[in-house]
Amino acid sequence: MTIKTSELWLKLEAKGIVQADDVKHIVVISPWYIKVLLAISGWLGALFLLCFVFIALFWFIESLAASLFVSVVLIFIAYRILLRPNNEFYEHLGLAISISGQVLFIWVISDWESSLMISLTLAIFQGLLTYFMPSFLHRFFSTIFTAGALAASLAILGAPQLMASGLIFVTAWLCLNEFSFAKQYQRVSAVMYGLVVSTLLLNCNALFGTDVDSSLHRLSETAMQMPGWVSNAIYIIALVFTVWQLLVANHVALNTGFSKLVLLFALLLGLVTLNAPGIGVCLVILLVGFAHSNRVLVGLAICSLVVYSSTYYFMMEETLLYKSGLLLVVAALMLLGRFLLNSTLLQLKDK
Amino acid sequence: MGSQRNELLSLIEQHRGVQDNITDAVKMSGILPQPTAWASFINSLLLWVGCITLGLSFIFFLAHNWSHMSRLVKFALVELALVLAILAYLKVQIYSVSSSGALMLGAILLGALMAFFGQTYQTGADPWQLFFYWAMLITPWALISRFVAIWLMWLVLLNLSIGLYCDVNGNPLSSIVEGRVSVVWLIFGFNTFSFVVWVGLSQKLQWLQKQWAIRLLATVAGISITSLALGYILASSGPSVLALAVWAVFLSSLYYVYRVRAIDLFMLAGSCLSVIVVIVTFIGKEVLDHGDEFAFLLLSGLVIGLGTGAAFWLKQVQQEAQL
Repeated sequence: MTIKTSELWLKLEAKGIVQADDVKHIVVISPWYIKVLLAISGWLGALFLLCFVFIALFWFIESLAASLFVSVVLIFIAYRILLRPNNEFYEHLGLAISISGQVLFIWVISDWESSLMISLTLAIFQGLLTYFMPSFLHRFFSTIFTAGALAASLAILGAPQLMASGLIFVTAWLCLNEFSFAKQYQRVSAVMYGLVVSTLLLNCNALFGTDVDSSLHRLSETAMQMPGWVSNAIYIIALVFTVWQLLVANHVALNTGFSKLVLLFALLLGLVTLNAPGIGVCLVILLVGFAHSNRVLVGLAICSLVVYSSTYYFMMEETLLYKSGLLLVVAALMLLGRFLLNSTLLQLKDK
Repeated sequence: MGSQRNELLSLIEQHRGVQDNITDAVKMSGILPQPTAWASFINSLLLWVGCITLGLSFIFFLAHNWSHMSRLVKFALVELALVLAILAYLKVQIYSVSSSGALMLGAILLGALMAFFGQTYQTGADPWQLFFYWAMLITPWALISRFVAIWLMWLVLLNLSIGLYCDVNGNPLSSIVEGRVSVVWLIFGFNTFSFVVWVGLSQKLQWLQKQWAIRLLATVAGISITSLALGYILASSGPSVLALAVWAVFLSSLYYVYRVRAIDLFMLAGSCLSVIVVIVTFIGKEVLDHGDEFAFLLLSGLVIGLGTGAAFWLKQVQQEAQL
């Protein structure tokens, strides 16, 4: 079926939002797996390009100033290349050149003494790339690096888990309000997917054993540590916030018994999964994905939940007995929630 | 739900009129689930997360080996849970979400019971036997369930038992063919066979027509044969004709089925990636062994060229599929 004969197009045409001739200019966007193919070959190309730059120009980039110069030039060239619309070759080339420039930039700043300055500079640098680089894949990766660099900065300042919990708010809100930025959709959608992946990576760090947590703690340069309850509270509030947003988006009145029950459920889920935040975060992504029929988000959340649940076994912070108890409470909460949901729905049907 | 969303996104990105009337366009696209769809989704979600976490909870509990509780009580506990799961299956409507959930829980609990039995009585069995017999014992449940996730669990268990068997006893193919044969050959053979059978049966059985499951099996088989091809290219003895030949036959078959007979962009994109990786590795090995820094530049150009060509071709196929 072409766009011209699709149900949506016909409805939009009937309402006068689109005209029959407009269809000539519409190209259906590529599915995610073609973007993944582009990304992998872009990264591989960048790796080889970088090896060439390092070997061929080593005498030149030994000087930090020269490296900085080369990195800025490479990124500017990539920007100019990526400005060309809808051309796979240029997108690949631009990605490869930009990644090479970024690695050179990181090499320059890695020489600084303060790790806080390094991570903050990197966060600002990647944030700027996210905003300016006119490519979906580039913005997606730059968003992940920005989030990672900010998480490292906060860890250095003594708040290692703050970014992970805080990011749930931004991610859930953006996923549910993606269409509010229709005129900037390309930019916003890349940031949205980048935030989703960052949120999953930062909260499901059981996927990498305890390495992420402990390395973030090791980065700390200050004796002052943010109390753990702050990030715990943010995590719980983020879960409740997401459910509240979903209720509002679906025009469910908040003062009904049903809404109160659902919000209470989210609060309890947050409380019981405090030491297994991956479960709560995967469920949040699953819900916001379903809310806009986003199969990529739903698939990503299910895969993360399955991997997180199986790797949770190997987390060393808690005993197996504790983890077993936690999972039992989650199971009880879920099955009880289902029972109550069905009873509530039946009551609503009866009325 | 994906195609409607993709269509809407294409319009949002390229049509100013749609951008200006975004609220109407989103409503008309039908991507916002109706209350009944929400109820059904939440219902399934709560059931699935509940069943899987309950099953995992039992496994973790038994693995903890809590000394305050006798063996008898532990056995009784897990057996009681297993019986309750089966009773729940018998009580609820057949082929419903609840029945699938109950069977899945039963399948997980059966594995927990078998592992606990082995741990308690030190049967001397190898780890591969646990997964193999676990898969065999849940086969009847998989057969009656008509549920894709249980079949995938069955396949994962058999894959695990193949890997663990070869770890202990070596690859049985090594006794047939001269020299050491990688376990990946068995994994590839088993998953390709499963993939072919699944695709064949899905023509008749509607419940097997889950695209994601078919793609998952194809991905596992594709990764296995690509890694075999890479392994032989990178091995010092030089590329084996057999690995490369099987790789070529596998990709040609995928091309025939998913380009000539029908169109599936996912399969084609995966095949393109495999071709790019194998070609770049092959040429990379040659030029990096004998070349200088310009070899890297050549490889970079090659990857970018191949990736561009693949993306261009895939987009053409995508447009053709929409005509």
